[in-house]
Amino acid sequence: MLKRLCRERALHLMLLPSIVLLFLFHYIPLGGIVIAFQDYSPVRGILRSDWVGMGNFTYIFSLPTFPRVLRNTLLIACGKVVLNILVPVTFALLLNEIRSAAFKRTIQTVAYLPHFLSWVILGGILTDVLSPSTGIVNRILGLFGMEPVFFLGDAAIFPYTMIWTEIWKEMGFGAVIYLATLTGIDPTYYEAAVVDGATRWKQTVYITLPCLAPTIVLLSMLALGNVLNAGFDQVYNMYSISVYSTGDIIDTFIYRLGLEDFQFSPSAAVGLFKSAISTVLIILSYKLADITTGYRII
Amino acid sequence: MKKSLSLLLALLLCVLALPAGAEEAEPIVITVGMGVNSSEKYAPGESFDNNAWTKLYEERLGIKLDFVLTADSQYSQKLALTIASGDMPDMWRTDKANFALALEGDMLMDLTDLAEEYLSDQAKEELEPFDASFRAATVGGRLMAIPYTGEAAYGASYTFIRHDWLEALGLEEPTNQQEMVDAMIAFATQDPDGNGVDDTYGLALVRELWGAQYGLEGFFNAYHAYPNIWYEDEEGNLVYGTVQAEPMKAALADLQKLYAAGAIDPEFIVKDSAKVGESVASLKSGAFYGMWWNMSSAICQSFMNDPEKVPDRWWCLSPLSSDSQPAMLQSTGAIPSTFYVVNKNCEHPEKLFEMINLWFEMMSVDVSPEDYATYVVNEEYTPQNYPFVSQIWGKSVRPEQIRGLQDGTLALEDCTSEVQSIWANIQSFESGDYSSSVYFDHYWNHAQLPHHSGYVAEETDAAGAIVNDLNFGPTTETEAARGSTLDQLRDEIIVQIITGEQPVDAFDEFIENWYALGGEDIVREKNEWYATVK
Amino acid sequence: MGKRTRGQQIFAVFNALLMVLIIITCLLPLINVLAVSFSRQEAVAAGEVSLLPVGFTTVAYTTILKDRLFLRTFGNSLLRLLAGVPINLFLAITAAYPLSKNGNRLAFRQGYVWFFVTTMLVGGGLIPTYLTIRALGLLGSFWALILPGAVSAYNMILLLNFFKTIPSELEEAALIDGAGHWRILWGLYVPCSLPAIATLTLFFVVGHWNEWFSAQIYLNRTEQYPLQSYLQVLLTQSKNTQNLSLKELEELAKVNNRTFNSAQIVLSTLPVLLVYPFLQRYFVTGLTLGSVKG
Repeated sequence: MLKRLCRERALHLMLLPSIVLLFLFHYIPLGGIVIAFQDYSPVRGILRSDWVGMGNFTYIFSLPTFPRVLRNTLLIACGKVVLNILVPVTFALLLNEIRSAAFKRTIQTVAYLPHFLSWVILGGILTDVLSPSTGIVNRILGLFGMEPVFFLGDAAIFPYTMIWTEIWKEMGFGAVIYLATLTGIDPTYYEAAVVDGATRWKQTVYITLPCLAPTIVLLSMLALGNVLNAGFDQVYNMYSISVYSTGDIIDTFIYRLGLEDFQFSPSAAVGLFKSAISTVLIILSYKLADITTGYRII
Repeated sequence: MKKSLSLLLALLLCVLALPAGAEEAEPIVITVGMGVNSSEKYAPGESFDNNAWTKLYEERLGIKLDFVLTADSQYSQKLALTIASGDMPDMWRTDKANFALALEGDMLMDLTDLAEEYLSDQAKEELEPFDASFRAATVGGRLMAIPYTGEAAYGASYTFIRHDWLEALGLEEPTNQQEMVDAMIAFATQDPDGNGVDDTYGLALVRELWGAQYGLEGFFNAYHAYPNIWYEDEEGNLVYGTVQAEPMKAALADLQKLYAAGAIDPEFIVKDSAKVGESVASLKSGAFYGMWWNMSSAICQSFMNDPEKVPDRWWCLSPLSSDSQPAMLQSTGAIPSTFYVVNKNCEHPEKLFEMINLWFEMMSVDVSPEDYATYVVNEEYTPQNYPFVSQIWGKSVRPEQIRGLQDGTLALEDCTSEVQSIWANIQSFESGDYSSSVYFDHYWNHAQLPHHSGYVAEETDAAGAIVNDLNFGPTTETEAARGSTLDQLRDEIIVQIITGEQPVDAFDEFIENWYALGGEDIVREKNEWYATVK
Repeated sequence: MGKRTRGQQIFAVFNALLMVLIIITCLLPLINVLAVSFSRQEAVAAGEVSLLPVGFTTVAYTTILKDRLFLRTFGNSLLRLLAGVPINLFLAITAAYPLSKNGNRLAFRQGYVWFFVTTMLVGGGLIPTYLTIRALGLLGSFWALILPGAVSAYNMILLLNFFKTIPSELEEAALIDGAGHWRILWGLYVPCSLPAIATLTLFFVVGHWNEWFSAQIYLNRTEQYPLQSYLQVLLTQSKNTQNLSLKELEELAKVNNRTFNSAQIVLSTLPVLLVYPFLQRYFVTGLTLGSVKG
């Protein structure tokens, strides 16, 4: 073993700086997780705070609105996880079909603009754009004879508004990584396919997609860690009393529970709950990908 | 010859004074923590820790402040983290939650005797009317902090109405709430701006339902309902306004009526105060409720944007009532948002009081115009926001003095520098100079003109028509656990009733739920606490 | 490229239309922000501005460019990029390379991998992190913005997967030539992965540029803040009315600064928008490299 380590020492040394930094800034503070099982008081500190076992968890889960909050979070977050893969991939593929290089670059650059506007700003703009009376979206729907839709005020629609506005905002930025992968595909594959008389569609299905697949699988897997993150900034800036029933998510719920009043322990409990769920999902999907497709992604 | 002699003398004096001078050259260092406002403007080369006030502190009090704990919007978070780490500065500003934390950690010095000993007579006199604020800083009979002070009347929510629309529709000024509701409906249905388009609303309402701008507090108060505050009933027990069925339902019934008649924007639920402000500024809303200074924000914007420059479109009305009982306005204005506290290990706690004394000295009536410009307000900067000790206000003499000026019973040179500059603005406004700040001061300070918010606030104050929020104590256990859930249920039912999704009687069910889901315990805990401070 | 079939032509037209639509929806909000930033405050407050400025004025920009703090924090942000991005890249590259090897070429590989992945799944929370940073003496230091996030497991894993696609024959050939791992990494892997590294660079640049929270917690003076922390303060000021005195509330209501905010957003977004077109050429480089390596 020692001999092996010695032979590989260059590789291990390369890892050393990252390991040290992660240890300092992630693993040491990780001890703080225990406050989820305490009635933590900053004044007394971790060592002298009272232990309450699962008390914080039962407190959160027993709050009358928690079930609906969990349901809302799952719906919005799952919608985002799935579409945040599908839409950017589709977008990248479609963009790949554009022949004019200048047009392609322009779209690429413009599509990633919304990523840089914060939800505080977009919230105000979207309130106008999606207004049932004056908003441009409803005016266009009106041209097709549709009734105005109250995208932000109608509880039945609100979760989907959250999903699609997020997709819209992140689509261009999310596609960057697929575009980078696409450019890495060996052009000789396509040349060979053209010689064999394959159509564009066939080239996409048999060459492009398989080349993208590892990236897609990897990003999907990593995205599962977000299955309980429905997007605090977005929802907080756009939700309202009339959509609490479908739009209140774990993060806004915790925020209103009074993080301002420093309920550190309950919020740590929720954080731990979220971590546990994503860990399970990520490990499961890792095994699944390994068994079914043979990808060992990490 | 004479010159060189005096030079020699001066040198001699210097040498003699050296030991004392050396002492002075080393001011006492006091470490402090405070939130800073990053958008505050300073003269070139100055900053929050180097400005006229820090120099004044050094000169007059021999102290140098070391700002070891500062942040902007994250100050509260950062303060909690600092408390967790344990090394606190000598003195710091704190919000209510962090005040409670520091008390729990036994970090604070008892200020009761120190305040008595070191506060100047002037400061004591100025602070005297603010018992209500000081109560919140007193724990077990001991003064543990110096609070921000505020006058309750300036924290109440007043009625603002479009006077020009009343005239256009041939309506009288409302004298009771029924007439007010009718006017709001007329504003929405009778095309008060005469443009032939149905584009006006009666009542501007913000999506959060509550607050200093476009909230509903003032509306509910007309029905003797006091939502979200705690006040005494006849027996001296604390009751929670939100769950008083009768007045709450009366107000809700009228809100429902307003909504059904189209007097409330059906999209109000997604509009934050900036968006609602747009409808006020673009002259599309007929009335709203808000704190007295709203004359200066959206209303001022609308005036600046108004091609016709009509100055008196908006009136502020005296509190209206729905019955023969005069209306009272609820206010949390006397409950301090911020406190000054001293570390119990601080070696020079008296310096806090010296800073307070100095603050009042500079804020006083007879401060010189030069000092006023250096330490209070000048054309470009607002130095009164700089010092560690600020935002403690005595009773304002401004309304009284302006009234005197307009009556001609007071001479301009006898007024404070502040009033003098306001008066100059009022004069230029009346001569037709409509720059923004001029308009602002015109309204803000015309305290003695009816229909101006400053006047109405003064009048309300004098009449004692204020219901003070008595919830100045610590957050109780059940409140911490259930408060936000109960607030959420409250807001949801109110919106559902306003929009007609639920009948007004559904509010009874909410009240039952409120008690069952923890309200019962909260009422008990509040009263137990109140018994200890009454 | 041969002649296109009719179906392909129709597809191309629809595809182009769709892209134009995307361009429009993505541009409109930014145009609105631009229009607001060049408009008169009162017109903005009255909701009159949509896509064109009303009462054109550049006063917001001239004021900002005179704001000492804006320029100062802008400089801090650039400094943060200069220091932070190379560190991020260096650590991601040096960690991804060994981990891209098989388990039989790197002992404890699986252990290492989970050591990294765990940091993505759980965190200790604000208080312990704060106490650690304080114990390390980094409070108030510029490095508190750089070091805690220097290793990004997520981005490292992305790069790791790009490295895996590089044919191992190339590496074996280099090893036979007597090259060490260090030389193989920088002489072979890095040049072959330029598109991936360009992507990562973009992520790191954007990450550093947009991150605002840590400065507000770990630093003491606004002059030390990066730009976004400063802007965040200005933007959220009106939202944080809880701890204001009545007087302060009143002052706040006086200033409607949406025009200023918008101008600040425009000025602060521009630099990072410019990074992307610049990095785009590396995607093309990657393409040619791809044909070489095949």
